[in-house]
Amino acid sequence: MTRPAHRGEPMAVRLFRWFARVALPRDFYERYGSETVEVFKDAYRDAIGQSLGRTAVFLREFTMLATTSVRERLAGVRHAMRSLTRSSMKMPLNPDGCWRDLRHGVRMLFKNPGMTSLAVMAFALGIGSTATMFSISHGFLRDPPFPEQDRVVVLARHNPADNRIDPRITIHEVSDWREQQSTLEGVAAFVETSFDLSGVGDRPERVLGAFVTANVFDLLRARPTLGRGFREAEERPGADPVVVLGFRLWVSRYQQDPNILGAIVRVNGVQRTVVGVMPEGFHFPYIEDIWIPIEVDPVGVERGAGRRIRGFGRLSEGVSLDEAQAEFAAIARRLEVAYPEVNRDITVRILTFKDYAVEPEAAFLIHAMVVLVSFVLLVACANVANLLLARAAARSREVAVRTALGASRRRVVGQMLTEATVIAAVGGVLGLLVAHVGVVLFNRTLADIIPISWMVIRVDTTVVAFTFVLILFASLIAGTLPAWKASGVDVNEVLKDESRGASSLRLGRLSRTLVVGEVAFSCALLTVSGLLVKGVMQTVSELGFATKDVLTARVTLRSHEYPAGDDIAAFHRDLLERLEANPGVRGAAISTSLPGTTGGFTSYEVEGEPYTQGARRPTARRAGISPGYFATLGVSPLAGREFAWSDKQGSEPVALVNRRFADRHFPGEDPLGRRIRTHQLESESDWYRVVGIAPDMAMDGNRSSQSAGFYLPFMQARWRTVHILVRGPEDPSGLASLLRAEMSHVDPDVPLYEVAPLDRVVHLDKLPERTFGIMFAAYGLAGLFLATVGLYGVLAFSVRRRVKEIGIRMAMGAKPSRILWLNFKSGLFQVGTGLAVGLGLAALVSPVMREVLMDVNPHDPAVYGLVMVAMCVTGAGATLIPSARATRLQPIDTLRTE
Amino acid sequence: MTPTNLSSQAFQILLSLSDRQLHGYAIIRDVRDRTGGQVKLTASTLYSALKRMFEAGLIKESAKRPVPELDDERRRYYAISAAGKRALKREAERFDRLAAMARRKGVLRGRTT
Repeated sequence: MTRPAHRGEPMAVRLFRWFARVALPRDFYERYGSETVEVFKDAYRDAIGQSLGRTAVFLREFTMLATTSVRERLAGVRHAMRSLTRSSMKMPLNPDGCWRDLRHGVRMLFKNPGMTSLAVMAFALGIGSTATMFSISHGFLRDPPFPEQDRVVVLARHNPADNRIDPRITIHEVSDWREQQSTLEGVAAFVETSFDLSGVGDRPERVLGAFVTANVFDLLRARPTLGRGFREAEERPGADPVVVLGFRLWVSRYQQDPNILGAIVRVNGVQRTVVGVMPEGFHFPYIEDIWIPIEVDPVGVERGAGRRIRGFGRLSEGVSLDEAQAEFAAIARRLEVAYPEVNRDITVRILTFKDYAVEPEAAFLIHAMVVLVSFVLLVACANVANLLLARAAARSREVAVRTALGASRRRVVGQMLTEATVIAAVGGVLGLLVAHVGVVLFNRTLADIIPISWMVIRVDTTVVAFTFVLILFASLIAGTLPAWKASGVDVNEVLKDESRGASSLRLGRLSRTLVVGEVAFSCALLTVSGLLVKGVMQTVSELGFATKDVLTARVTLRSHEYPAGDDIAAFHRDLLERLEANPGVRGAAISTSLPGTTGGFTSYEVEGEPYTQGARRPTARRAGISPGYFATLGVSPLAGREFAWSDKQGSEPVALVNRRFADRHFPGEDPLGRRIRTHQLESESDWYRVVGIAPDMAMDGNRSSQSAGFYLPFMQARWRTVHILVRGPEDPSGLASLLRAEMSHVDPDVPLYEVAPLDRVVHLDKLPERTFGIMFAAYGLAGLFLATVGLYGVLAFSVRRRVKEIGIRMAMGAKPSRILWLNFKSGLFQVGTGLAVGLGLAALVSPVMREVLMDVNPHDPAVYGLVMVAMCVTGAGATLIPSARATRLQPIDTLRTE
Repeated sequence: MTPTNLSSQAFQILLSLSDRQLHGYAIIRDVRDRTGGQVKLTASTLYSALKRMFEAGLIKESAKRPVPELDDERRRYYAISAAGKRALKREAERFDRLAAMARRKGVLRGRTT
């Protein structure tokens, strides 16, 4: 990360500093690093007047920095080896021989700058793309930062009948497990939420926190920096209210006040004593910064009811996950017998905390993305292999002469591999820069919304090591083929051969195969990126309701100030009516989730449809709304009526279904008058009578067709946290102060938070998909570019080596069109074959990505067609140029070449 | 230090430091100007060479910092050491002898010493 002192420096200087820090040996960097950067800065600043200016200075300084880093590191190794082998007789390896190969290799590469820079660029793109994606996947899949984290487990309800794992449990399960189990060090529970935090004299604040049982900190092996954790008595009903603060909160809100212990703070309106502060970097479960004891009172709450929480524990010393799993299965069977009404067909599934935080399916998906992106690297490898092959052909005489003069085959292979390694190393270093830039850009858009504290995405030592492996892999793949081809030449044949060695190496088929591979991989990549982009475009397309001039905010009403549903309804009715009385306001409403974002969903039943006991119920999106909701968003119900303030507690429960829901359950029928109810943990709500049909309003953020949903009047339930929507004249930002003013008239103690225009909320909701869409579009284009360059290179080379043949054909009277076709068809054949293989590959790969494709058909004909057209056009272009060049040859000149 | 030949970079750096103390970038500029751009040092090669020369005792870090208002905390000045002076002189004499040999054989034109 850039330290603040370096802000405002040119990007080049920052890159140089970063690269110097990673590349140079540590002691060198510590002693000379900052001076080196200063000198670079001076040189870069003075470079304006020079030819090529800053770019040239930048490139030269970077290349030399890379070389110097390697040399300084080698010097360290050599020094160590020398001291090791000083007494022994001889070095096993001859470093001078290697060094000579290296120097020869570098010299050969500099002789051919065009080809070398093309190859380096290909590797930089390939390695850079793969390293970027790897940095991201590595960041997402880091281990949670708890000591022995693989022994921290989450206990979830598991229904083997439909293999559904549900981590939502109740306090009864926690206390039953505590009594009966012996394989865990303890059973704890948590549930993350957010709290209103206020204290004497300071601004109220909304902070992310969690309810936890008293033993969480012990089970996580986390010790407070200050004070203590919770005591067992503090989770019992009626205990003194206490709170433990996170380090970040302690710093930001309390200025690291050492006397914070014993201070009273208000959390959700309750006065609580601060008893401890957790150490820096500790967050639990994800990013939370404040903890309050869960009240463990199984007696006071009806079984199956109460707050839904998550259970977890730590495996006891010497106990394996399977042993714990077996014990909990036995406990679950006992509970099933004792309380069949809530535990029928339910067993317990134990997951590691990591698998709980990042589901294995998500982890698989992230790995799949890395594999997919490595296609860019494969294309790059094929590209470089082809370039090296072409050069091997051009140099086959040199090699033949060297072999004839007694150079060993191993030496020749070594030479070729060395060259590939040098290219890969330089490309890899540049690729690391690409990855660094990629990660910076990725973090700039997404870092703030990653909800888990330990998921830090950066280019760290693991990524550098991975890049090193990529370099080795790339140089082996790209170097072995040409080395093997060039070293296996028949000396006599080459020295007799007149077509520059190409035919005696029988290069044609090999390099054509490589091009087919390039086209295939880039085509597969392009197709998958196309599908991703299509999904993104679909989600940002027309939502069908007003977002631009709507301001949103959240508000939470606490239970001891607004105990009954009617109190909540009265508060909001008052607020909405005050808001609507303002001349600038075109509408105001309440909703439990915002349209165009991923809303909550629930299981439900439709009256008259048969359901088997214990089986999974259908799920749909659900939102509680107020009267005026549709008008505020500029739409109106398609049939029936809207909710009215008369739909309140005690009156008949009613619901509106959206069009998708109506199509799902009542096709061709009138849904009005039918009844539905929600269904959770084997308990059902009352029946709601359907009184209207609402338009589809992206209740799932337009991600998939699973957006069937229904609306309930918020006045008939007891939702405490809701969104307020206010539609103003044009610019909604001016509404914020109006909203705050009206709010303080109704109740000055209720804080407003997450105040933002609706279009921004919708935008943020789509940001991850959009970012991945853009990234994959970039990868796809990189692959396409490399494949095109590869195709062009191979054809251009083939034309060059067939110059004489073409000349003779023309001298014999072949028409230019015939010559054009001769070359063109070979290119077309390669593109065609590559396309067929690539589309097949894409058809195999894309179903795996279904999860992120957001309802796009993995075999979407439009995307496949578009990719086909794009590949054909660029392929034809890359083929046509060298082919056309062949027709412009003068027969007499061609016979003169060589 | 054993009297081995100096690398051409080390020779140029010592030459730049022979009559004054300079900081990093000034060395690069001096070498570049004096050789008409033939020897171009980059930031990393310069410090790689300085490190080696420092370890060989050819140069030392200067305590003196010439112009206070141009002085920058991050800039260190380097000075030639007595051993460096000897090495530089020895190397220059070696070139001189080589040049004389070349002249005697008529490879180089000019006056024979």
